[in-house]
Amino acid sequence: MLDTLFRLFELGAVGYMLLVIGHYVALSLVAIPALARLRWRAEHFHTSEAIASASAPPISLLVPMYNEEPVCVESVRALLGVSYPSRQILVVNDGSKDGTVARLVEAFELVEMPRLPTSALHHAAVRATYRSRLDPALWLIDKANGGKADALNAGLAYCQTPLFCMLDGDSLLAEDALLRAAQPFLEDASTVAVGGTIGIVNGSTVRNGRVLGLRMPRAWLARFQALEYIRAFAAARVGWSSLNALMIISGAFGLFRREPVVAIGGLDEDTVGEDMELVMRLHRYHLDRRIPYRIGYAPDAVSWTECPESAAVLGRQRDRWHRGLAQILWRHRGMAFRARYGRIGWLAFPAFLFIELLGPLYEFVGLPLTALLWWLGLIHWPVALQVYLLTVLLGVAQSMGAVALEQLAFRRYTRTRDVALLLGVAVLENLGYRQLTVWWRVRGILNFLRDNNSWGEMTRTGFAVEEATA
Amino acid sequence: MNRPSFQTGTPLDLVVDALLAASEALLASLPQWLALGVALALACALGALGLHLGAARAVARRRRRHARWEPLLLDVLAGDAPPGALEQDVAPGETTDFLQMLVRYALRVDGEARETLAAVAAPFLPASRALLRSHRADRRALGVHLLGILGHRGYRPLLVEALRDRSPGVAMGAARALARTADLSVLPDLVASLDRFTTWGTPAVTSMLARFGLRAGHLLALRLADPGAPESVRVACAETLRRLGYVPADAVVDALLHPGAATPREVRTALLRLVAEIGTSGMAPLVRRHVTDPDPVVRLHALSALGALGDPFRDAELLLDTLDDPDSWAALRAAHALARLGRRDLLRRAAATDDTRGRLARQTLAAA
Repeated sequence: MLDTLFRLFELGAVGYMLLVIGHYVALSLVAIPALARLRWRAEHFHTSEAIASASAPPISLLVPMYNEEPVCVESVRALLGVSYPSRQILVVNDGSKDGTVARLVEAFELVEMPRLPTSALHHAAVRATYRSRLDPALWLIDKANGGKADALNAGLAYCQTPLFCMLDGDSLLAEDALLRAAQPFLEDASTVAVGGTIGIVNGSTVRNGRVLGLRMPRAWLARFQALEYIRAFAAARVGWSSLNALMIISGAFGLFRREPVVAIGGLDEDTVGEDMELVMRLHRYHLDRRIPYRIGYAPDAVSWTECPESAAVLGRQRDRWHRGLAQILWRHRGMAFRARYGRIGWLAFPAFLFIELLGPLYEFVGLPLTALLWWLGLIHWPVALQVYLLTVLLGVAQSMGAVALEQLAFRRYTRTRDVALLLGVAVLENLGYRQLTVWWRVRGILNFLRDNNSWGEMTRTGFAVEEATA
Repeated sequence: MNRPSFQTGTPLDLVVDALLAASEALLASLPQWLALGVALALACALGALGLHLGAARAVARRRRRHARWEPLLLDVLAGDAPPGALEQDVAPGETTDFLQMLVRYALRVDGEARETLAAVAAPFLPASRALLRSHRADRRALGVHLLGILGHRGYRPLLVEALRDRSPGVAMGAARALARTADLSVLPDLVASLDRFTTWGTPAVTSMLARFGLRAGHLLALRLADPGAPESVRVACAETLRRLGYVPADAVVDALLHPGAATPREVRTALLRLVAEIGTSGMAPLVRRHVTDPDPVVRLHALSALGALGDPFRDAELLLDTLDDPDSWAALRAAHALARLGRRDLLRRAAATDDTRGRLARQTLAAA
C-alpha cells in the first residue's frame, strides 16, 4: 500500500514536471509563427512609414519616481528623445526622500505651474505641479508618498490624452518604442492596452538616453536576469498574446487607453502587483459587460531597464512579484474555470496558478522530500537523479529555445560571444541561481499568507553613461 | 521492478493500476527521455547560434549589395545615367534586397525623383504583382506595399481591386497606397470601401483620406450625411473634413446637429469638432443647445466649439457657469473657451479664489 502511494507520488511529480515543460513548449511553439511573422514584417515593411501616414494618437508618459536621484535625469532625457509626434511626459515624484525633485528641477528648468486633474481618482495629496521651460511637454507632479500605484493614479488623474503609457522611473524607451506600441491601437480600435518588452541594460553604454549596442551584463546576477527576461518576453508573452490571453503587461512599459482605466477606478493601491492587477480588471470589466476589446503585446517595442545586481535587492523584488501574483490570483479567483472568461478563465489563469505561482513550491518541497524518501529507502536514487536531470535538461532546452526565438525575431544581441554567453547562462543558472529564485518566490508566498504588503527599498546604481562629445 | 496492485477490481483500483503502469513505463524509459532532453537542448543551442550567424551573414550580404547599387542609383537620380542602367546589375536572387533599397529611397523623395525610382523598379515589379495572388495575407500585403510605393499608374486598378481583399490589413495597405497617389479617380472606390476599416482607429483612416485634399470634401460630406453608413465611417469622414477645413460641409453639419436629427452620439461629437473648425457665428445657437447636453462628452466638445465661434459677451456667463461643471473635462474646456474668446479678464477674476474654479482659471491662464 505504502509503496503504491509512493509510486503514485512519483508519477505525480513526473507528471507535474511534464505539465510545466509541456506548457512552456506549447507557448514557444505558439510564439514561433508570431515571431517569424514579426521578423518578416520588420524585414519587408517600414513601420515608421505606416505610422507616419496615420495620425498617431497623443500619449502621456506617466513616470513614477521614488528615490531615483542617480538615474532620474538620464531617464527623463531619454523620454524627451523618444520619437513620437504628440506626447506629454508626466513625471510623478512619489514623495522621494533623496534629491530627485531638485535634480529634475535643475536639469530641466522646471517652474511651478498650476494644473488641474481631469478625473477624480484617489491618490495622495499633490504638493505642486511643475512645467519645464526647456520642453513644455514635460511636467513634474510632486506628491506625498503613497506607493507606485498611487503615483500612477495621480499621473492618470492629471492625464489629458486618450492614451497613457506606464513607465518605471529608470526606464529607457527605445527611440521607436512608442511608435511601435501605438501601432496596435491604430490597427484595431478595440485595443485597450498593449504591453512592450523590457530589456536589461546593465553592461551596455547609454548616451543621451540611448542604448548604444546592447551588451551582456558583466555581473552574473544581471546575466541570469537577462536570460529570464528573454524567456519571459520572447517566448511566454508572445505565446499568450497569440492566444489572446495575455494577463500581464509590465508596469515598466505598457500603453493603455485612458478611458477604460479611469472607468475601473485606476490602479489598485492595495496590491504590490498593480500592473497585472490592472490588466486582470480590464479583462474582467470588458468580459463582464461583453464589450469587444483586445489586450495586445508589441514585442518589438522595447524599454530598457537596469536590473538589480545585488542578491538582497533582487530577492526583495522577486518576493514582491510573487506576493503580487498570489494576491491577484486570489483576488480574481472567481475568473478561474468560468465560461464567461473564456481563454483567461480556462487557460491563462490555471497556468499562472499551477505553474507560475505553485511551481516554486513544488521545487522547494520536491528536492528535500526526494532526499528524505531516498534516505528512507523508498525510492531508488538513480531514478530520482535521472528525473532531476531530466527536469534540468528540459529547462535548459526551454531557455535555449527562448534565446533562439530572440535571435529569430529581434537579434538584439548582435555579438556572437553574447549569444554564446546567454546559452552558457542557460546551463549555469541551474547551479544555484534557480534555487535562490525558488526560495525568494516561496518567501513571497509566505509573505502573502502573512499579509505583508510592503515594497522594500530598491537601490539604483545609475546607468553607464557616455556623454556625447561636442 | 514488480508493480504492486490492489487487484480488487473497483474502478478506482483500475485507475490506480493504469497510473502505476504509466509510472512504470515512464520510469523505465527515463534514459531515453534524458537522451531526448540532451538532443533538444543541443538542437535549441545550435538553432540559436545558427539563427544568429545566419542573420549576421544576411545583414552583411545586404550591406554589400546596397553598397554596390547605391552609387549607380544616385547617378540615375541625378540624371547622369538612364533608369535602366541598374537592371543588368541585379541578379534574379537579389530582387528583394534591391526593391527594399528603392523603397527606402522612395519614402524620402517625391515628384520627379519618385517617378525615376518607379522607372528603375519597373522591370522588377511583375514579381510583386504575383505576390497579390498569394494565399498568405502578409505576402499580398507586401505586394500592395511595393506596388503602392514603387508602382506606376498602370498598377492602380490592381490596388483598387485589393481594397476588397479578404484581409483588412491588405485592404488598408491598398487604401494607403492609393491615398498616397492623391488620384481622385480612385476616391469613390476608396470611400465605398471605408466600412472595411471600421476596426482601424479613426486617426489612421482620417490621415489616409486627408491625403486627397480638399477636392475629396464633397464625397466625404455625402458619406457623412448617409445615415446607413457605419458610425465609425461617418466619424472618420467628419474628422477628415475637419482636418481639411472643408467649409462647404456646414450645410450637412447643420442638418445633422439639428435637434430633430437622430444623429448618433459619436457622430454628433465629431460634428461639434468639425463646427469648431469650419463653423461661423451663425452656427452658435446650434452649438449652445449642446452645451447643456446631459452627456458630458457632447458637452465638452460643444464648449470647445463655442470657444471657437461663440460671442465673447453673450456666452461669457454660460461659460463661467460651466467652470463648475461636475465633469472636470467640461470645466476645463469651458475655461479654454473663455480664454479663446478673449475673456481673460473673467478668468483672472475667477483665479483670485482658492476653490477648484480658481485653480482651473490659474491653470488656463498659465498655459495660455
